[in-house]
Amino acid sequence: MKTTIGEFEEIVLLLVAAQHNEAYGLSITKAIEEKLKRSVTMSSVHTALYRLEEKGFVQSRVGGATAERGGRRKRFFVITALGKAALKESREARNQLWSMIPQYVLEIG
Amino acid sequence: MSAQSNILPPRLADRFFRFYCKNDLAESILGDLHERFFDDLEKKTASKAKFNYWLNVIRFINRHTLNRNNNPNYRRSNNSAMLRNYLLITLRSLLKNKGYASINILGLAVGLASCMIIFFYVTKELSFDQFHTKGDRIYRVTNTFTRTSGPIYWARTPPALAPSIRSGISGIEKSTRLRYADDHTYAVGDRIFNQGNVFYADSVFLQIFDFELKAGDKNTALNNPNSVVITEAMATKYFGDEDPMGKVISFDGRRSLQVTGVLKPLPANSHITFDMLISFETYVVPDGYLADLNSWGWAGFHTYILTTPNVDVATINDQIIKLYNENFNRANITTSTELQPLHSIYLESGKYTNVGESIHTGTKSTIYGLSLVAVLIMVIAGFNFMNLSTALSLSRGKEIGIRKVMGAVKGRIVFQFLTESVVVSLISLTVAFVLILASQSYFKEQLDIALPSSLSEYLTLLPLFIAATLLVGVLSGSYPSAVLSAFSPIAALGGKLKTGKAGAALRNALMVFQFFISVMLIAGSIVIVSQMNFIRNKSLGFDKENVIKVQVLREDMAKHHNALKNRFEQHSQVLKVSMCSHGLDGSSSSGPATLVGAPEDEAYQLAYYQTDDAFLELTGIELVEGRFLSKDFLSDSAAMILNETAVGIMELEQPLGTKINFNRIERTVIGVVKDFHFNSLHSDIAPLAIVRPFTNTELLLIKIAPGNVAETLSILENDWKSIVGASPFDVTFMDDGIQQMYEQEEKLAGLINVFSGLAVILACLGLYGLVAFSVQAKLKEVGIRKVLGASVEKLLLVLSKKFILLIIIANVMAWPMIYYLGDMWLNSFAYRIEMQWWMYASAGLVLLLIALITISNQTIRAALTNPVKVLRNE
Repeated sequence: MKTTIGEFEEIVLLLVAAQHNEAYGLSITKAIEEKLKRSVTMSSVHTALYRLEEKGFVQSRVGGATAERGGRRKRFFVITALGKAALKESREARNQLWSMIPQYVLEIG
Repeated sequence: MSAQSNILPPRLADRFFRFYCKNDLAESILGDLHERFFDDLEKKTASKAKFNYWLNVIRFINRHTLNRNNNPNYRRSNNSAMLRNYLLITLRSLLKNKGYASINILGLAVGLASCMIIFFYVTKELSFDQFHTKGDRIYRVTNTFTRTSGPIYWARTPPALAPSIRSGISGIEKSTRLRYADDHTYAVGDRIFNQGNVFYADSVFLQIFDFELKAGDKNTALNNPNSVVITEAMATKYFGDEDPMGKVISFDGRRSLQVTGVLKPLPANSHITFDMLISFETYVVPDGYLADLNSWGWAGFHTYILTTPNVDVATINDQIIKLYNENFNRANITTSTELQPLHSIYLESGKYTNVGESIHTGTKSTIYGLSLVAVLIMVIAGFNFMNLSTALSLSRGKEIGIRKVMGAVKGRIVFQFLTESVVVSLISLTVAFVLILASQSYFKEQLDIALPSSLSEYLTLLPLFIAATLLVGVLSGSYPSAVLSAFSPIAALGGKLKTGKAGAALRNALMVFQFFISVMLIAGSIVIVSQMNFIRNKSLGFDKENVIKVQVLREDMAKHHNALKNRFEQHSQVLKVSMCSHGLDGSSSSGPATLVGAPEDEAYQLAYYQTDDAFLELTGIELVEGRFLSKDFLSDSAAMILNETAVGIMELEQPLGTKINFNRIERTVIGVVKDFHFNSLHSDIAPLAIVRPFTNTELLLIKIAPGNVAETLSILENDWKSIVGASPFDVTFMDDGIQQMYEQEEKLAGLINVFSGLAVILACLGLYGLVAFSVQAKLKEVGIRKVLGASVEKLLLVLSKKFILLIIIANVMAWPMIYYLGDMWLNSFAYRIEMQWWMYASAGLVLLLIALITISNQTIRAALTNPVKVLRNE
């Protein structure tokens, strides 16, 4: 099955990979807000995560209970091999496109 | 944060979230929402944080949160996991209770197999003549003659009818006659063949009916005189591997029939069967017949018509009646015709006499009877299943208790036990197929029920059988599962589980019903067998033992009668030889008789036999008055003998010497014989006249000495060959011919015997299971009774009295039904036995005996148990 990956999904997937083993809905929301300075709603991040899980790019597990958040457990996400492959593929596609840009175009800026 | 920790997210928002999101994402999302809320509180005002919280909660409404079961892993596994668990537990409980399980499965399998066999039989009976594509437009024309004594229905009609219909009535596309060919010789070269099953048919016969031709043209094959169409099997018989088309069969040594068509094998479900069709143009009325092909009074031909589409059949019939009345006019008879649809000929020909040879009829009552038996057997098997499963449920109380504690709701338990009964019934279905395959040859040979032979025939019916089996499984599983799911877990785990009084009452009622059915079936077989014995042994008024019938061609009879008779009578093994027109097995000719001097319209219809003077002594028929035909009186060619019924019907006070116009010849009554049964015992004795042969008859009756029949036959055959030569020596026994009149009854008797046997076995299997169970439950009671001094006999009584009582109740309930049904069936015989008290009693006793044997094994073992063993645990 050819699954495509959207721009926002790619960002979320990159962050899941970056925050290896520690990524959960709110942590990714925060990272997008802080690192990318983009305003984003929690629900759209969660939705992206669930869709990535449906596509098989990430796997979720429920963490242990902590005293924070009223004892509610976090759902942690981890990138799968398929997810890694998808990231690499999209990176290579970009690199290829980048390499097609003539040097002077960028220099003229 | 600590300062603000007493500020909590809005409760209403939480509730709202919990309201719409009920799946396992809820916890983590809510956790994230709360975390975010507390983050917000550090940077913003409480109201702003609360507002954001609400906003987020609302934004989270999407398909992931609304879906009740959104985790793909969860969704995939749980249902099938439970189902797998149910199957596992089913298997384990079957293996744990091997005895009960095999009783259950075997019982259900026998029930299913019986139903399937009956299903095959009934569908075949119902499928008769359905293969004709124009079948809904084909009718058989039948006659009704109404005399003062009542109507008589004749399936055959006169030869002039079909041609007049063809020319005179609109709405009829085609019409054909069919005439059974009496015995002729058929030969190819010098090889002579025995051949029955031959019809003369009009040229359109093959266009009306869909009997497929393998070779030849169905539009022209029967057009010309001396054409014959034969079946493939006959082609092989006559011509071997050669191409039969155009070949010639010598017919009676005088004519040559040319093969103009070869038929594919006829479907087994056709009411007409034939091996050969000869074109009607070939037909010649035999010497000595009183009528010709223009006759309207000679009802010896089948007439079939094909109507044009969408015509009013009643109008056509009216026209045919009109035509009939114009041509056939007898003073004291009203004639009418009836168009009988092709599809109802096979099953609804009961009222017709003179149905004719090679025309097959079935009986609806057999079909109804067997279908009823099938349902009853299935009910018994289903009840067994219900009883055993419910009884067994007591031992599964703990399992159900645990399941309920672990969260199984009632619906789940019901589902579990329905699954179980469906699994058991599917296993039974498999066993049923094995049983059918194993018993196939028995049913085919003994009861003439052809079961499908190829796998594909079974496969096409498989969905139907599976659906029926599932239905049986669900129906019989419904009660046990309802009972089991109603267990209170506390009672079940506390070990105080008892099925209520109502449950026991229901089980008893089911068992009474099973025995009710069994008693009825046993009594039914007893009644049928007694009636068949009665018929077999009833004095028919003549001696049927040791009489052989030799079929002789008319011309051979004319040429060789004296020589044959003289030669045969020389042997010490041959006691008497007589030529006769009929063999006392249901057939006879009939003709009008009027007293000389009486008006023409006071005619009586008399059956008649043509025979010679040896007949009386040969058959042992008693002479009441006067004398029999004798070669000493030449005048006997104009004499006649009457039977007592004829004397009674014609109201002759002084029969001897009375002059009667019979078949247009004036005859004098010279003797009266005692009534004898020349027809089947279904009907009363008809008025009969016996006269000297005025045509050549086709039968020689030979009375032979008892013992070493085979040797006698071979002596006779040698004589036959030396005198007659080529014609085949065609011998049958008179008592076989008589027996054949009761073929249907014999078949019914066989079927009822088999299936009532099965029903009893089933009921007893169920009884065995229940007794085994109830004895288990009573072991402690038995132990205590034994300790207190009860004897083994006393204990046996205690353990079995309930079952004996149930069987007695079932018997008493069944008696009125047995009487009603038995009497109804017996009424179809003019000569019948009366229902006797011993028939009821012996049915009951047989059942009681079988039941006692069934339970004795269990009860005796229980009564002999050492009380220490059962009481030790208390």
